[in-house]
Order: sequence, then C-alpha cells, then structure tokens
Amino acid sequence: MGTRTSACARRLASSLLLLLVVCSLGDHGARAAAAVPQRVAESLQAAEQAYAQERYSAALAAYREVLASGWSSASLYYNLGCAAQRAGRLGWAVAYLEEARRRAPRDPDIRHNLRIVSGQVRDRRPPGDASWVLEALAALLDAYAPADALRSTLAAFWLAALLLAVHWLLGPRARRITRRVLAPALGLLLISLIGLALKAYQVESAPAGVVVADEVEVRAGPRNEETVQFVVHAGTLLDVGRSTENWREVWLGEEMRGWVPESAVTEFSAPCWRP
Amino acid sequence: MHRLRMMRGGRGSCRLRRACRSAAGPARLVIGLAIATLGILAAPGSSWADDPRIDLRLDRRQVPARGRVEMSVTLEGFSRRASKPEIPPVDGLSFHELGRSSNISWVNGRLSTSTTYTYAITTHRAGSYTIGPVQVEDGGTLYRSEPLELGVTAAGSGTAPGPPRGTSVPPRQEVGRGEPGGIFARILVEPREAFVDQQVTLRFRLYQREDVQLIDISEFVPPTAEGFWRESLGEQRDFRVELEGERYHVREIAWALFPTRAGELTIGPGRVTCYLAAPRRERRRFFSDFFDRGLLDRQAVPLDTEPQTILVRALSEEGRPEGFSGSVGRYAIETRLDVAEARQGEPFTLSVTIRGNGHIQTIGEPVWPAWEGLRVFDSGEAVSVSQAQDRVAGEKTFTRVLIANRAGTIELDPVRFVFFDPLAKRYRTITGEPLSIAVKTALGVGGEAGPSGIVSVGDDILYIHSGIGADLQPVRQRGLSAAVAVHGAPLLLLAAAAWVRRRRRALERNPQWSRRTRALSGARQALARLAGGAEAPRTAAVLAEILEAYLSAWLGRAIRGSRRSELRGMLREAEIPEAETDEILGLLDWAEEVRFGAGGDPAEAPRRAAAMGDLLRRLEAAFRRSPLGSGV
Repeated sequence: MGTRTSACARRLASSLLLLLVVCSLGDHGARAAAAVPQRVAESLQAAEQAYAQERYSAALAAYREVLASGWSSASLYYNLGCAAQRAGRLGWAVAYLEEARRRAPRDPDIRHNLRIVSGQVRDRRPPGDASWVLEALAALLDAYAPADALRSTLAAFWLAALLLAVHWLLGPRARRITRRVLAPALGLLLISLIGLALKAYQVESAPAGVVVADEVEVRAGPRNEETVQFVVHAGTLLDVGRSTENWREVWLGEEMRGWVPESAVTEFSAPCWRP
Repeated sequence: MHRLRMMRGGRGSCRLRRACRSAAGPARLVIGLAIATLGILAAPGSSWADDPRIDLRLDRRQVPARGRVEMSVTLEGFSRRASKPEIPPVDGLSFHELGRSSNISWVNGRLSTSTTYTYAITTHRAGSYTIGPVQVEDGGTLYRSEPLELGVTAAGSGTAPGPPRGTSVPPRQEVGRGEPGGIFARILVEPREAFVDQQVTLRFRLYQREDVQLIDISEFVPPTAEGFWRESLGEQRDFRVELEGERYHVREIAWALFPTRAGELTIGPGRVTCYLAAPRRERRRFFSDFFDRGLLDRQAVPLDTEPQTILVRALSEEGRPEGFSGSVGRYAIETRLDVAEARQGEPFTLSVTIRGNGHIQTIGEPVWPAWEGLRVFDSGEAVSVSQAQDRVAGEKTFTRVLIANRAGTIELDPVRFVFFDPLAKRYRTITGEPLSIAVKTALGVGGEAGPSGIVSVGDDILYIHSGIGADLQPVRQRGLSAAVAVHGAPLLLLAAAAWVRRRRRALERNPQWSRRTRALSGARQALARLAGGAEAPRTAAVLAEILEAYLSAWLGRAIRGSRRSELRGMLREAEIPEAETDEILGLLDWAEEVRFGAGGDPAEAPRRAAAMGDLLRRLEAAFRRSPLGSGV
C-alpha cells in the first residue's frame, strides 16, 4: 500500500516539476525570442557613438528613442543617466539613475553614478531620525529589487510546499527526517513573506518623482497667482500626487506641500514585481 | 511713490485745522468752544488717550566706532507724574540727554499727549549692542519698551555720521538765493558729468521761508529721469537753511540715478502744489484769533522746477581689462568657503561677495579661475542694497557649489573682479584671498588610502554600458504570465498530498474497509498476471485463488476450506444475487475438478478466465450495493 502511494506522489511531483520547467523555459524562450528591432539597435549604436564623441545631448535623445520604442532595461536607464549628467540635465540624470537603481539595486556602476549625481543636487532632505536598526533594515531592503524579493519568497514557498507534501506522502520513518528540515523551511518562508511585505511598504513609501527643471517654485495651488511656498531644484526627490491641467501636486515630508508645473517633475515608472 | 508731507508733529494740528475748516460759519464757533474747553480740561496732564506706550527709536542702526547716533524715547499716554526714562547702561556706549519736548494733539476725537526725550549715544568700540529695554514708572506701574539693536563697525569702515533722515538739524548756510513769495522748489543734480552706470544723485527740495504759513502739500510729481535707472534714497528729510540771511524750512526727497546710456540726458522737470494760508476778507470774530490758522482761507501755489541736463560719458574701451562685466562703482571683494575640510565627491560652497558703493543690482560676474580637481556648479546669487550718505551701497554674493574630484589639499586660485572706478576714471581689478581646502578620500573608496596604498584621486561618473541590446526587454504588460501562474503548482501538490494523507489515515483506521476498497484492483492485477497459454490446472488454481481472495476481502473471513452451503449462505446474507452466487460456486467446483483430475472440462479454462473479469465487475457492483459496501 505504502509503495503504491509513494509511487503516486512521485508521479505527481514529477509532473509538477515538468510543468514548471516547461513554463519557465517557455517564458525565457519567449523573452529570448523577442529580438530587438533593427531601428532600436540602430538607435543604440547611434547613442553610443554620440556619447563617445561627447555629443551628450544627441546620445540622450537617441537613448530616449529606444525607451519610447517600448524597450527598457537597467542598463538603458543607466546610460540615459550618464548622458543626461554629461549634458547638464541633472534632474533627468537623477531620475534615470534612480530608475536604474530600482531595477538593479546591486549594480556597482549604477550605485556609483547615482551617488555622484545625488551629491550635485542642491536641495538636501532633512535627515530622518530613524534608529540604526531601521536604517540597516532599509539598506538591506535597498539591496533588493521588488522582483528579487518576490523571487526569494516564491523559492521559499516552493521549498516549504514540496517538503510539506513529501512529509505528508512519506511513511513515518521518512517523516522523522523531513520533520527536521520542514521547520526551518517554514521559518524561511515566514521571513521571506515579512521581507516581501516590508519591500512592498518601502516601494510604496519611496519618493515617486523627481524635479527635472533647474529650479521650480512650489505654489500653494495649481495657478501662477498662488503663493510660492518653497523652491526646489533639479534632482530633488519628492512625492507626487494629484494632477490637474498642466499642474502636479508634490510634497516633501508632512509639511512641505504644493503644486508645480507638470513639466517640472517626472514620475518614476511603476515598480516591476515580476520575477 | 514719494509724497511730500508736512513737518513731523504737525499732522495732528493739521487735522485739527481741517476739522475747523470743514465746519460752516456758526458751527465753527461751537466746535471752537468745545475744543477750547477740552483743551483746558486736558491741560493738567490728562491721559485720556491710549494705554501708555514707550517708543524707542534710533536714527541709524549702524554706526562706526567713536561715532554718534541719536536716540529718541517717546512716551505716549503717560501721566505728568511719570518718571524720566531709565536707560540701562551699556558697556561701550555713552548716553547724553539732549533735551525734551512735549506734544498734545487731538487725534480721531481723542486727546493724545506725548513726551519725547532725545539722547546722543557715543560709540566707543565695534560690536553689536542691545539698548534697553527703557523703563518708565507711572503711578506705581513699571513700563518697559522693546530693546533695540545697534551695530557699531570698526572706525573708518562704516558710514560716516550724516544728517539723520526725518529729523531736524541746525540751520546751515546754503549758497544760492531765495525766490519771491517765500516758497519755491528746486532740483539738484550731482555730479553734472558722469559715466554710464555711475550714480547721479537727484534731490528735489521744497523751500519754505519761516514766515510763510504752509497748510498742505499735494500733487507732487517727481522729476522725470528718462535714460536712468532710478533707486530711492530713503524717506523725506527735513532741515533748515539760511538763504540771504533768511531761514528756510527745507523738505527734501532724494534718488540715486544710474545712466543707462551715454549722451546729454535731461532730468526733470518736477512739480508740487502747495497750499498757503491767505487772510479772510470778512470781519474777524471773537475766536478767530484763537483759531487763526484754522479759519484762514488757503491759496494753491503750483511750484515747478527747472529741468537739468547732465553729460553722460561712455566707458572707455581703452585699457579695459579682460573679465570686465560692466560694473561701475567702488568695490571690495571677499571670498569664503563654508567648510575648511571636505570629502571627495561631496559638495561644499564658495561665496564671493562684492561689496561697496555703486549700482549693486547690475554688478556682473567675477572672473572664475579654472580650478583643477574641482567641479563647479552655479548656485545662484543674492543682492542686498542699502543707502548711506545718499549713496547706494550694498553687496552682491555669488555662490558656487564645488565638488572635489580628488583627495588632498586643493589650492584655489583667487577670484578676480573687474570694475570701473568713476572717481579715479579707470578700470580696477581686485582679487580675493587665495583659498585652500583639505579634501578627504570619499567614503567607500578605501579610506585615506587603500590596503595597497592606492589613493583615490578622482571621482566622476563611470562610462556607459555598451552592447546593452541583449539586455533590453519589452516593457511588459501588467498581469501574470504563465511562468508566474505555475507558481500556484505547489498548492496543487499540497492538495494532492493532503488527499493522499487523509486516505491513508482512513485506511489505517479501518483495515476491513481498506481490504474491500482494494479487492477489485488486486483481483484484476492477479488476473492480468495470468498467462494466456497456461495449462488448464494452473489456470483453474489461479482463478480459484483470485475469486477466494476477492470474496474473503469482501466477506471478512477465509473462504478457502468452507463448504459450498456456507459460502452460499454468506453470499445470500450479503445480498448477492443468486445468478452470481451460482456462477461463483460453479467456477469453484470446475476449478476443483480440473485441478484434482476429478472431472471438468480443461478446454473451458480460457473461456472461464475470460469471463472472470466480467464476473468480478458484477460482484463488485453487487457488493457495493449490499450492506457491506456502505462507505466504500
């Protein structure tokens, strides 16, 4: 009886594994099959040539064409940030490099260049009063993209589910072994879920936009006649909210809120959670 | 917009006169009586006005050391028993009382009394001083003023003391002549020749001989100044002069003009209309003398000034230094770093302040050297303008954010500033102090020096990534792909495992139920293992074993060895139809006969084996319908 049950479980597990492999291969195959169009490749080549010849505005324009064609990657945003910085567009440099960092947070080139351009931003956000524990946690979360966090959680989920299934399917003797590894696996899954939740919170609470104009007056309302509340400069990260005709609501912290012309800020794209 | 006004302190009386003038003939008498009565009642120190208030004022807030500044302490609403102001001593300042004046006025229907004490303050050394609060005791209550701040600069570096604005000064001799009528206006321009953007001071003066009764001033049109940038030089100034032995009260408003083009430029004319007292022709009444000024008619006198022409010269092209940005005046330069020490890659600020007399608003950029090892970012400029001694003064600060590319001590070549000095009539170049800054290695670059002794000397953005086409991915649509959906598979696996586990537990709890559940599958597997070409005795034995095992599993007892009648009874009890019972018994009998050679047709073996499957199916259905099959 036990033999027959184990054989059934093995068949089931094998089928699921096969399904997973097929689907994964299919997805990766689909990605690999999505070849870059010729015009995008030409734009990339033109951008690299322009950058090498120190025609940074032309390089920036060419990279933007690639982005507008519906293609993106952390490296593309990195190159956009470099070109923008060299072209004197500090706000856009911060915007692109921050986008790149959010996609590939552990890339050393991206982190380096982002540190350089952030140092050139005039406005300084007031330092938070968080404890070193929270700061360390934030730094740890910063090292992982949303997709990384989801991938880790899914791996922990697979491991825990397989171990639990095996634990249920195997006989009592084998259960003694699985019981020992099942508890750490479930603990790992719990930690991964907590990490995923914290990452989601961090992503939601991160500044959603950046000032791209050299200097912009933040007004009390969406009209030029409104009182100027404060002034921000290129590269300042801020939160963005409602949008009216040609105006965007922005805020820095709890008290500094107002409206700026829509062209003065750019909003980061939605976080990519897909593993 | 400037507006010439009457002398300080006369505003209340002016209102009084207006009140009198606005009343018709007989009513004036009544008003005069009432006011006279109130005035008499108010005389012994009435305090019907507002709450007591101490007003402390300085004629200037900035004065050089060993200079003098005038301070007034005005007590309003105090009784006559109020004490003199008590000024707390200040180390570095000396106070000398100059005098006291009282004023009683009628404001908005209420009587107001005020007493002003005037002090001269002598400054001894530079610093920032706080004067006051001044205390006054009245009726057992102590009143305090707000304190005042006085800045004292080093001797010679500040502004020289001059005639204070808004206060009277002793009469002075003035070159010129008076004009008929005892009241006239003039504009004074100084200098008459100037360079483009050099300050030209324009003064509009209204002269009033002391015996002329001026009631009101209106319709003041300041002198025009086309071709000039105009800046005000402060509020109206009142003083007295002597012209041809006669004393005049002078009201003056001044502007700083900055020519914007070369050539002969005209300033003015200006105009002001004064209202003078004119005697009434009708017979004077009893109170007419008492309210003499109020009951006089007034006469409008328009006063025009002559336009003035000045010659404006262009700045010389000859000898113009490189870096001249159009600034005209007399300036000094000051450079300052906000930190003495910085870290590589982190910003710090350099401030360059151009300070002096001239057209501050148009001060141009200084000459910025090309500093090696530093990246420079424009961080804006700030302007502060003030007026002193009828000169526009102030400062303009240029700020640059610097980021060091390398560690070590970086020497900054001094910033230069080129301007045209109109008094010396030549270009001048001034240079700021040379600066240096110690730059530490950037954080994360290995500290002061890496383990191998390599020191980072530059910090700039890294080069672009090349060949990124392979990394590009189409911007995805929202939603889950098949690859993401497959991550739900563990849930299916868990569900299956849970089902298996549950079934296994159920089987373990009820062995009989377990045997019945698996009886048919076991029988079919055994039947499938029976080789088709087996001998008849062997086939008969296997078929009998299969059937007995199947029936044992369902009936819960061993079949082998039981009598046929007992088996029939058990099958009947299990509600197995008679046809299937007969078939079972027939098969068992045939198998025994074939096995033991007691008869039976061996040729039937294949047919019996083929029919066995159908028999098992029908038996399974019969057992499941029977009481034994509940729960299976």
